[in-house]
Amino acid sequence: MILNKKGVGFALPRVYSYLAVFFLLVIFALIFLTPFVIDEKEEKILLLGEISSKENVFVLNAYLNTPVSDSQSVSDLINLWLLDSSNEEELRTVSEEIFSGVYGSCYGLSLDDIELGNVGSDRVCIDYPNFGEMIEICLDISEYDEKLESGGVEECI
Amino acid sequence: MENFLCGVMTLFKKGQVFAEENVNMAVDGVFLVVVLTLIVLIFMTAIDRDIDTLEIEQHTSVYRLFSSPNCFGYSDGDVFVPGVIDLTRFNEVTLNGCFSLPDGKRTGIELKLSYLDGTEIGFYEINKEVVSQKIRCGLENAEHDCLSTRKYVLVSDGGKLKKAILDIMVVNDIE
Repeated sequence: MILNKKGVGFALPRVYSYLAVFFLLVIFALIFLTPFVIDEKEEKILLLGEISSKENVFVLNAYLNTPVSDSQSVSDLINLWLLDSSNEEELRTVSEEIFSGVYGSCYGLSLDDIELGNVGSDRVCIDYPNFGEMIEICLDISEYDEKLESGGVEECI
Repeated sequence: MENFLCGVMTLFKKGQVFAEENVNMAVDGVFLVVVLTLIVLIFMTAIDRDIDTLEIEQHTSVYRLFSSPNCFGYSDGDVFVPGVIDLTRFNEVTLNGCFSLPDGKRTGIELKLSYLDGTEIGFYEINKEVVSQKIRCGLENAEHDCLSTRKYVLVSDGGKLKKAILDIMVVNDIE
């Protein structure tokens, strides 16, 4: 250990002490500025995604409540499919009929391992009870909304 | 200039330690000012952020249409059923009450509700002056920004649920 003349404390050359302060300043700048520069877009996307996903939960809710016959709704069809996978075809047909009538080919829907269209990262998911377990029902209509805004929605229909 | 340098030299000779400390203190002072200025600048840069709330306002408007009991949401008894539109409530009076935009309002909303086969059920606008500016949306230097979305919904028509489509456009003034 290098001590100063009186033998008390460190004898650190001045240039090194300036460099040390400058180094600490750089760390300070990195800590404060990096998250704002890198994550600014990401934060915005997260916030918007959170709000728009809540909107689309209403769409999923409408889908589940959609009447298929006088006594059955889509959620009944899902229950039947969970009991017996041979009911998958009917569930697929009904779901396709609903969503292709609204969003053309620009949608994605997944019910556990059943997938219709492309379900991307903008999907909105809800948990659906399956005898003590949960399956995920996910919907992605972001492609339709993007094309609606850009004027290319005809490509979907 | 020579006199000044001589004076400094004299000072250095007579009180060398004192003179060195003074010079060091001056350098330290300048360094300190520079460091503090940089800290303030970094801090100000970090907190000086523009928060663009426009898109959030637009999505919030859409969300409110579905979620607020003052809007056209359907209630089965006391239970609010999200995603279902009560046809008896889908009218201009309810919609205007649903939003009751203050003076100086910046948001206009256009709603078109139709059955899945394309038959139109209703078409309403809230704040027509702003909605009429939708043709400018997407133009360069436009003073308005628009959000268009389509939602699959059910309509309760006399207690019977029917498949429908709700097309929503939210137009906002950009201040």
